[in-house]
Amino acid sequence: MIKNNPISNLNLTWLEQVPSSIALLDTNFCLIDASEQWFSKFSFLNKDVKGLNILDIFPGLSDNWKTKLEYALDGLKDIQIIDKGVIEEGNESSFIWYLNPWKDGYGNNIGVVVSIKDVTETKKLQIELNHTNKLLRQNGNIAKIGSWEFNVEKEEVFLSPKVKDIFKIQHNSLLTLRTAINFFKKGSSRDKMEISIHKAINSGTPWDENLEIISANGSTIWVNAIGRPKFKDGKCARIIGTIQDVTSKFAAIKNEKKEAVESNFEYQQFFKASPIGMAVTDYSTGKFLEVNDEFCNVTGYSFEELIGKSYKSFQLLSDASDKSSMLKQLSVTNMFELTKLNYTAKNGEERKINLFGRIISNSNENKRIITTLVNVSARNNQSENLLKQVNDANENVDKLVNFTHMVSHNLKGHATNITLLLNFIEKEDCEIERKKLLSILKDGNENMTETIKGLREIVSISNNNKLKKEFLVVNDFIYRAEQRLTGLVKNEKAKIINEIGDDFEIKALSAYLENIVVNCLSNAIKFRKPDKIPVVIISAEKNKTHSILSIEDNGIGIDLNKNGNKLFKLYKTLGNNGEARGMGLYLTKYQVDLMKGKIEVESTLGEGTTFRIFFPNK
Amino acid sequence: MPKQLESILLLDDNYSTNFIHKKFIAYANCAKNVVDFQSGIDALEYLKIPENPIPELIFIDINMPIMSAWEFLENYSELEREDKDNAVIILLTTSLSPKDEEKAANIGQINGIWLKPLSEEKINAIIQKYFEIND
Repeated sequence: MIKNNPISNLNLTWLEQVPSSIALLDTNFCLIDASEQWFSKFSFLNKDVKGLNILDIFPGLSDNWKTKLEYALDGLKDIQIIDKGVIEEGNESSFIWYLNPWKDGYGNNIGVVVSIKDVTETKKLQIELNHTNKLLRQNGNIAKIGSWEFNVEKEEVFLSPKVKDIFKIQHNSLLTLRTAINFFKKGSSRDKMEISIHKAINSGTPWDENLEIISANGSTIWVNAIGRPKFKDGKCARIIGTIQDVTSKFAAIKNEKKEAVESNFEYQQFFKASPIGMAVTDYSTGKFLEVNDEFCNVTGYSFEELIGKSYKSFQLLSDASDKSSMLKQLSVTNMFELTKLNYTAKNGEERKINLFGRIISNSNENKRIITTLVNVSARNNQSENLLKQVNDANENVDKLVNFTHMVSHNLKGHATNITLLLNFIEKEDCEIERKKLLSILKDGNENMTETIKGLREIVSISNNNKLKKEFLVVNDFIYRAEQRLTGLVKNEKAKIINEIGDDFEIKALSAYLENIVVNCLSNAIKFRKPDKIPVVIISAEKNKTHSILSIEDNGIGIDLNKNGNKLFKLYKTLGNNGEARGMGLYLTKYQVDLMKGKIEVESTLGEGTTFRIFFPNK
Repeated sequence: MPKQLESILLLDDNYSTNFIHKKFIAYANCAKNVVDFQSGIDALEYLKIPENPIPELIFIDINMPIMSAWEFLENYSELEREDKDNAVIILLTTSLSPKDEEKAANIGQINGIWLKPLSEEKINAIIQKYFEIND
């Protein structure tokens, strides 16, 4: 099924909250909705531009916008355009416009995401960055580093004036180890300091810690404290080290962390609500660190089942070549893309998925991979359906061509023959000859009637293919066919051997089954060998999927090597003599097709033919 | 008076057509002997028997059930009769399709395709074209 309006099914309430200027356009580039920031940026306070085309909302946009929007709709990512937009009456401002495809959960492009950044804001950021760089350099220049020494034997503490400046104490102050340690903030900082000194003395371990101290005037200062024990005669004699004021640097780090946490929050919102399956995995272990709802949906596993376990436990990339392709791509480009993978979900359902991954790593942390997973089964099913429809349509066209071909050929043949025969009769004076001509004319007429009857049947089948199948006792139909064919059976002295049990049922359409049985039986008898009594053996069997009706004769047979694939074609098989094995076979095949069954033929020229008709059990 | 052939073979699954053609051949008085068959298999059975002469002229309907003209010709070419290549072979059809024409052009044995039904005039023309041209 094709969704008529995929957009109306999406919940867009999250959009309002997005802390950036984002707008969503449908496939006609009309504005569906946008974030608060976006609306306020352009002073659309009552949001009455919803539904309007973006090019109408911003008439000043340059000409190539439409093309670029179409590119985005085609799936091209991160298109950047620097262009002006009216921000309020008569006031324009330059923005960087980012165009991205907007996809639904099946990976279909359903619109375009337009986000904007002020050019000025970008410039501001640039300036800020420069400023920060400068600050850092300055800090480096005036780095507040002081040195200290602790003599273990004498338990004397020496602090350089710089350290005393950091501690905000007088340069002539004297501190003991204890009072010095007490400058470290109670709790983890002081504990760490004590442990570090202890370890340095007892096991010679140096330290390098960022710790907080409370200076003499009560201010909290972050310091980088480094200590190295010095050994003499196998004993720790003294510890030397430095104290560096890193407060400003730490403030920056803390801010960064805060931002990271905040943006993490935004990202998590997006991550969770993303209509595309997403997962974060650890690069080295392959374990899931984070998965979103859609990821769970597609794989069929719950959050709890996935988290902490390797992707390998869930049949993802179970094909070794897929896995090696992923690793190869990752090692070269830090990304990977694998499409149309077969995946068996937890419930056993076969799915086709696309995986796109990218390595994300914070300098110190372990490498991680963020992977998007898109279930493309629906897309594939759609195209398969389409293909099937095209094939069916082609088949129907074939049938129609057959049909018209047959009509023109055969009726024309019959008609001209009748005209000619009538001409002969007209001219003929001899009564005996006239009678002979008349009887031939009569036969010809019968044949033509037969042909037309067949045609009518084909047309009525074509109009009548919505009937329901039911379980039918096959023998009822065989007896009925035998009755209908009594004349033929008597004339040809045919023997019909029915091996089917009276309780054998086939799921079929009653009218079709009757036709099929009659056609097969009459063919089996008509195409007899002149020197042999026709014997027809009817049998049936059932397997898991089909009920199979077999009709075997000892007639003239068919050269399948030459006729096999043409056997059931109308033009090929319909004879002018009205014996019409062709018409019968064509009808039989057509009716079996309509019931989603199939026919197999086995035959040896001169020895006989077996038709096997498969009726689906469902 | 046109040339009279020893024998003509008619192959058409429609009995009436064969009958009509026989009549025209009789009117044209162009053959001493005419045999007709409604299936290629029967015709081949007849031709396999050495006592039966290979006809000088064979008319074959293209569209026949069970064995079409093409298949009949394949079988015919495998006949173990030395004089089988002497026969003039004419295909007959109610409507000439380019596909059939192309097919026929690729088969050397075939001398021509003519439209059904035959008439006295057509038969005379055929005799003249294929048998009297060198006389």
